[in-house]
Amino acid sequence: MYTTIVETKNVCKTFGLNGVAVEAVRGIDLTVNAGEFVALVGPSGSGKSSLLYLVGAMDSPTSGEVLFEGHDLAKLRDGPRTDLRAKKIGFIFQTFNLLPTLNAFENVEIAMRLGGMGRSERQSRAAELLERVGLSERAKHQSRHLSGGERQRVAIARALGNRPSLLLADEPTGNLDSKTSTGILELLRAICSEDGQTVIMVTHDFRAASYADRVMVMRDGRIRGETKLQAGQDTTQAMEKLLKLEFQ
Amino acid sequence: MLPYTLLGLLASRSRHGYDLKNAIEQAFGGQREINFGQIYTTLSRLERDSLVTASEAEDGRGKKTYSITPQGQNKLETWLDLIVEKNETYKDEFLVKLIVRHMAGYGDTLAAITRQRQAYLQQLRDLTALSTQKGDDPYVSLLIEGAILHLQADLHWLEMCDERLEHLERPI
Repeated sequence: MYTTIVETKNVCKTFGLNGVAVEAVRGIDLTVNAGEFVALVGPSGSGKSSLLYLVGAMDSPTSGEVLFEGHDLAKLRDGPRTDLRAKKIGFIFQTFNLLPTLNAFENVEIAMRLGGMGRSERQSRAAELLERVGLSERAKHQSRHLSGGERQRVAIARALGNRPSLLLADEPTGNLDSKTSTGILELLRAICSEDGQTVIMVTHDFRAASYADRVMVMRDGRIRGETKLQAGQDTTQAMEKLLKLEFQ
Repeated sequence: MLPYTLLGLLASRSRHGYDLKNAIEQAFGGQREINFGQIYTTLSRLERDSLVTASEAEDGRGKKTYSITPQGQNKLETWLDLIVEKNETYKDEFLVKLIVRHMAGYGDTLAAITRQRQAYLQQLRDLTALSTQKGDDPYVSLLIEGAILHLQADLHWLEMCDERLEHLERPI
């Protein structure tokens, strides 16, 4: 049981675009511990998605280290690396990326099948996960018949199938209206605070970021500041302040 | 705004003082207790200005009924149609602090921005939690959404401050 899930040490990523070097990530030290909900917020081009992809072993750094549960990702060969991505890291995207010909249940199940889980275990787990994300009644619906919010819930259930150490979310509410977004963000926070899932979320929306415990603001490939947030406890005070009507 | 609130309530029908108190509390989220003193003082002024009339109850029990006058109606409608001017200026005290900090040669703008951002993000978190609880009340939920939108704008503006002021090196 690791307490530090991810640690980056002076990690850099430079892309070559039309012969020009673009420094997407410039020397970032980021530590994420088990059970944390971290948001990386910044405008487009800030490097937040690039950083997420490095942490998720989807990409390799130009320099610096990415340690996943203490292991240097650079030292992993292809086989173990693919294995890590399949079993230890769950990923959800702005565009959901479900398999359209499969129904909700099958979409969740297939990820576990690819992770090598046995049939009866993955079926019972798929049912359990769909229940967790509030979609038991939609289990047999084809993914193309599901709403955006429902698809994202299926995507979350799928991502959690193999009990990943880390759930990564790249703009999970980018394609959703604000009410649906709230539902998804509340679900992410619940799986973190109630189930202990470690989550790293990339967003350009401060409102979404405020659901996290730690908010890292990024700009030009660097972390500009970190904020730790408390649970929304003082709602009475917020309410008082809001309703301070001055009747003359 | 209490005079206009009372006029608005009386425009729909005549009411007793107690009815007015209840109606205000209900309309504005049920959270704020208005005291009778304020209401009766305001009603007296409205009477004095001929915007409202008061009549004793027929049963003589002394419970007054308040009614709006045509002048009162006119005053209310004029106020409702006036465009609302934002009475605070666009000046932001935080910006002044940043400039003054720079003038004083203290530097460390980023730390100041980070602290301010912390406060805004925490408020955003608190308001979002409140929004979930108060979704049913139209006035309160709109007030909360407005506040959330302002905070989002303030946070984006802080990013701009960080970006533009990052390279200011020499004090003014």
